[in-house]
Amino acid sequence: MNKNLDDDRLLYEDDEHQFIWFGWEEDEGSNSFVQTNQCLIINGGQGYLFDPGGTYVFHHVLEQVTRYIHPRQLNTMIATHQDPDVCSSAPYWMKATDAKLLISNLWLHFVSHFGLDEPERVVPIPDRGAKLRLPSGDHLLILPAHFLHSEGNFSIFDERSGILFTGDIGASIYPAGGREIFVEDFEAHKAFMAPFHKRYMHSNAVCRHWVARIRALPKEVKMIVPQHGAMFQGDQVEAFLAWFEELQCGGDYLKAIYADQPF
Amino acid sequence: MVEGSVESSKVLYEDDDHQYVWFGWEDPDTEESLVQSNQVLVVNQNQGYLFDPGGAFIFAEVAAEVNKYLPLDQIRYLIATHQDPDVLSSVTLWLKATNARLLVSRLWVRFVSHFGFSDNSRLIAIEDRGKMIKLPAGGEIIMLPAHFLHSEGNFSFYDSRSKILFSGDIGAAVFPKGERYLMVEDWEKHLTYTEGFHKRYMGNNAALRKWVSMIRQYPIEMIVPQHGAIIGKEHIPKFLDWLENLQCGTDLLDEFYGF
Repeated sequence: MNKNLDDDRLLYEDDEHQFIWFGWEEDEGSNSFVQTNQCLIINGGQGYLFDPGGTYVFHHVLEQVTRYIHPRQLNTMIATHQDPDVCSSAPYWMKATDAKLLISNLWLHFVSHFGLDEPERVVPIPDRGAKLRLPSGDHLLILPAHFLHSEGNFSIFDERSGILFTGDIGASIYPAGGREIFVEDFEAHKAFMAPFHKRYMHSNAVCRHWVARIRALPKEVKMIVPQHGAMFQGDQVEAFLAWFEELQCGGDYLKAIYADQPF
Repeated sequence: MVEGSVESSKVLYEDDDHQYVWFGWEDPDTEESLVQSNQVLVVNQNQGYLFDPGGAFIFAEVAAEVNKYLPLDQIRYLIATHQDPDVLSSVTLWLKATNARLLVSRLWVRFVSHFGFSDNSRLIAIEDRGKMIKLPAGGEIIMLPAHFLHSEGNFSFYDSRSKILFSGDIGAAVFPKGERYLMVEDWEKHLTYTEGFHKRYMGNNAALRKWVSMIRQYPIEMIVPQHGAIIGKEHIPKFLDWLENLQCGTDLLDEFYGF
């Protein structure tokens, strides 16, 4: 763990609502793992955990969550998509809590292969997304983000805090020891985002679709929290949307990718 | 699954030095919650190559079945088409049970370790263009690019000795309850079990065309997908023609985004 970095941080707080970020990383085996972020919302004594993480980090994330809320108060887990770094810890979370797991209907019958005892606690999210009502009456909007990268993929907007959790969209991968919690210099930050986005995201047409949807949200996006790497705040939110909207990626480079040529 | 109606393993090709064995796991009790998955073992001169070893949930059954053909410590490589849980969440257990190394797309090397292991010295990244491994008794396994079909870092595996192509999710079928067969017989009927899956999960028509034109350069006796039935030689031209013309994934973006 880089001692200069916190591994948890309260991003938003009022009397009824908290939004907490966890950012797991360790020195040992850091070449083996991509660093991951998890988010916890606490509203009316209920917990909502986004992208609970890989099996390997389970005990670490659980310990952090427990500092804020009793695991039995965890109401819902939401997985943006099916990847191992996103939700292979699901079987352990299902045992440690009574929470439901929400995931795209595309992955419903696939995540059970992680080894879930109670598949009825996995709730499919339809392609168009979903709206979750929190105890305070505010909503979490689960927004379609398909093909960015996963075919069945969502972003999560917390209306109360104005924080958008974007999964792999906006993710950055740093060289060892180079990680930041918040993006400091957006121009310099592009170098840590571009290789990942160009190869994993499906195509510019999809990026545009998603950006249009985000711009049309009923409330201002104050912060963007991806599942890997640093967060965007203030003007960086629009800077990121403008960059992503213009990005050529994935299928736009199909020929080069199949031929293994640089792009 | 009707008990006894479909075997759980079958030798698809055999000569003196080479076997190609299909495993088709399905749990009759929990079939509603789990997608059925196929695994393949290639045995060449007493060395094993296991394709898409499967989910953690089914590890014990697959390992027991594989062990009937080859001691587990003779498995040389585990080879994964992509990173999904039904393909590979058993990997932590397989790495413990064998001395094998895992071949997986370079895109997923730092993601699959999240299944639960910290030592990735036994992982080998497959570059985007693919990879070829020579078999001790002659022939090779060729990992052909199949990116965006569905996974962004995805491969199909061609065994030059048996001329069987393992296609991962491409060609997969999702059967209704109680209906399942090992070999495709009626192509038109089979299409009804494959079309919905391909339209939603496959990247787009351009990627399909790229893959089909590459596959047509290889003589193929059989196509084995990771889910559902095996496509025999007589149906392969129809299958490739169908794929080549399929609109899917981002071609139908508005439909899936709902606006």
